[in-house]
Amino acid sequence: MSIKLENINCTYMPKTPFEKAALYDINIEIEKGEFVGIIGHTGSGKSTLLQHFNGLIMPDKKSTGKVYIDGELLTKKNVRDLRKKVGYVFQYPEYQLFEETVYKDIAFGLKKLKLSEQEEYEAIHNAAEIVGISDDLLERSVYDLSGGQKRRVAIAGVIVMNPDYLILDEPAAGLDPAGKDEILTFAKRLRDERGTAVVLVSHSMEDIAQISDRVIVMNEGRIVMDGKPSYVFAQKKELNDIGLSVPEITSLFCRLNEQYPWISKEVYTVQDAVNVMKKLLSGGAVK
Amino acid sequence: MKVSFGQYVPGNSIFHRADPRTKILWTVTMMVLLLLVDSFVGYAVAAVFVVAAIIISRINIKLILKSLRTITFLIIFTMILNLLFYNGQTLLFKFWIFDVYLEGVLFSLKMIIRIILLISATSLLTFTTTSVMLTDGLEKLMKPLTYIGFPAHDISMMMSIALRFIPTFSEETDRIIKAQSARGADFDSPKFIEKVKSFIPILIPLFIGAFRRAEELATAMEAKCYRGGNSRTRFRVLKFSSADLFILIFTLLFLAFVIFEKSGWLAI
Repeated sequence: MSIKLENINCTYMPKTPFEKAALYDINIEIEKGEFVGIIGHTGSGKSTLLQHFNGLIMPDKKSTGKVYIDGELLTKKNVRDLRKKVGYVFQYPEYQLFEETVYKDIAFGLKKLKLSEQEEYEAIHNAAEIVGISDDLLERSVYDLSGGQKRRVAIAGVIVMNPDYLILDEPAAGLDPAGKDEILTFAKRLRDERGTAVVLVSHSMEDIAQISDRVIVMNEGRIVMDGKPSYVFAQKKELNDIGLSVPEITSLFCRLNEQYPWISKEVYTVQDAVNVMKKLLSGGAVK
Repeated sequence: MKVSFGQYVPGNSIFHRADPRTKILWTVTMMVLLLLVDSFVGYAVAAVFVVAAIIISRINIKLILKSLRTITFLIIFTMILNLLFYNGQTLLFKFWIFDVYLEGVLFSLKMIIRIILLISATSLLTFTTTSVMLTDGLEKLMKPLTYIGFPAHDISMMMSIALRFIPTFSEETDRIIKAQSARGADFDSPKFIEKVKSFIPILIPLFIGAFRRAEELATAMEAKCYRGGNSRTRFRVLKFSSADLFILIFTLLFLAFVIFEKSGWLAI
């Protein structure tokens, strides 16, 4: 059970003066149950890559590029069915809301599935509960909600389809820290409870380090690193070279390590830092 | 995003460097003159002028052909209408209730050449001029009208805002279509009513987005103390240069030819 991309190349507006290559030779597999963080500069091809995961962009017919979802080759014919397995939350998803009430908007995708009223009702309440939209909001107009609530309603509209894979393109952009934490928390909960694979794009190295089991680094249309957060964020210099950084706390411990070599610099989250400090204090490793 | 008819192509040709006013003048003159010419010799010379202009502008001929492709239907439609309904003397053949005359064939050929030349000549304007330059040029050209109370600056500001937002909205539409289809929307239902209905999830967010942007832009302009055209200075001052002189002479040459041809010295 995985999404697999093979030899994916992508060029925007080919054969015009505006031709722009966006992806080169991408080979990647996302397993079910993984929590993958994708980092990279604006214009590094992250969004283009994501849109291949559910066939919003199809590989060029002439190329050898192929996409497999759960082992099935993605084609023009089956894309609509396979797409149901892959939930995709765009950047600023609140701008796609259009129905009169929150309930109806979350129900939009379900309409095609021809569920009974009871099933539909349960699915919607379930999705609303996961994203933290309380029942009394369901009959309100989507335009009465706050920005953070709108965003969660839009995400609920994707989660309600119960996808096996969930793609979140900068879901926390423009939200306050509390709103951001909520989104990351329920993404994690989805993965833990339903085994949904989550692919998350973020510009916050802290969030990525804290939440993902696997980090993919994109630069100029290529995947330059792919591995555990501890593997990726240990390469501070390489990341800096492509204009990215490591989590603040890693930077701090790298600097401590320069001064006091016995302090580990393999610190990627606040929890790691706490553990290292505890060890130092209890072990009395100070000279 | 698709390259549509007349999208600006960056470059540094004489056409790119010329003042937008000169190019607007060239476009209008070409339009009038191409409608006046009505002999094959005239079209041949006109074609030489248009092709020369395209070469000077260094716009890839493929792009021009691409913009012609969008009007294929118009060309075919004109051709068929003229073939069937033109009344001449030399009957070629009868087709159902229609009579096809030799004059009709020649006339429809002329119409096709005329349309193709018109589109190629005028598309140079938008291929070589950014929308900002274009509206600046229009504002300057409309300036004399302000003396009779015509809001030249406001009109050109509205035009430049409208033009500025075309790519934004086309991107936004693209994004909303993708977002809704990721949620299971289906846009190619065979049933007409279903198909119309399927556009609601695109149109509503698009309209709301348009109003939101309009409001934001209005606020931003107000915050920058925008007060309309009076006594505003410009960042880009339009100047008459050698490139303009060149295009002007080029246009005048063609004008001279058309007068020459129309005066009957070139009887065909």
